[in-house]
Amino acid sequence: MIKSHFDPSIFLNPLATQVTTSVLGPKPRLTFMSGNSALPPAPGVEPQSQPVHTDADFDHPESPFALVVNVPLIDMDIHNGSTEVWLGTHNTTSLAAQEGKQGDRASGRIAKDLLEERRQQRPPSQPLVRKGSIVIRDFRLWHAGKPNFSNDIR
Amino acid sequence: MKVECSEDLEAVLDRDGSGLQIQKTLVSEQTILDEYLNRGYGNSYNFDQESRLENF
Repeated sequence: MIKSHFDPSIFLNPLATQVTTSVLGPKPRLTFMSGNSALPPAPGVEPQSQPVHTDADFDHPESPFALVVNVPLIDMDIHNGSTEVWLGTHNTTSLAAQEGKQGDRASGRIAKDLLEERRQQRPPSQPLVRKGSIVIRDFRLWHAGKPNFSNDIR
Repeated sequence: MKVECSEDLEAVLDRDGSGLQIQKTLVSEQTILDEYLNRGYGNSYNFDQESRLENF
């Protein structure tokens, strides 16, 4: 992280820290920063989704231990590839639900039969998220990057 | 895991009074600019505990 890309309202957001502190306990630790950019499809290439996966691609606790804080820099919707989320799945998932081993390109993939089972209970959604919102999700939540059909980098 | 931050951010990161602890390594801005494109993709990082307690 360099100064010209650093903005405390994003990286040290007090509302985000209040929530993460409530869930994880006092003095949560920030250990990773990254960006997720969904590019418009290249000409002649079929737009693709990520496989539904969890980022916790290892044997993990059954209680909350890590959260991801996302701040979209533009509005996100189905058209430009709002991330698909499978709400509630962090409560029951485990390493046994996954395919692929840690470090593989598509590790943490959720088994197809479990996806279909969950879809009957609560199907996934691609929420409309306004620019500048704060999205806080449990690290274990099932999710998938979706195609960006717009001409903008999402 | 630690976030690599430029040295000129140290004051603002340490001044944050929210209780958020930022696990960081301070390096020069030029080092970050020279090396950031050599990083792995998201899943190549190991988010598990560094010193894992087995059979616990």
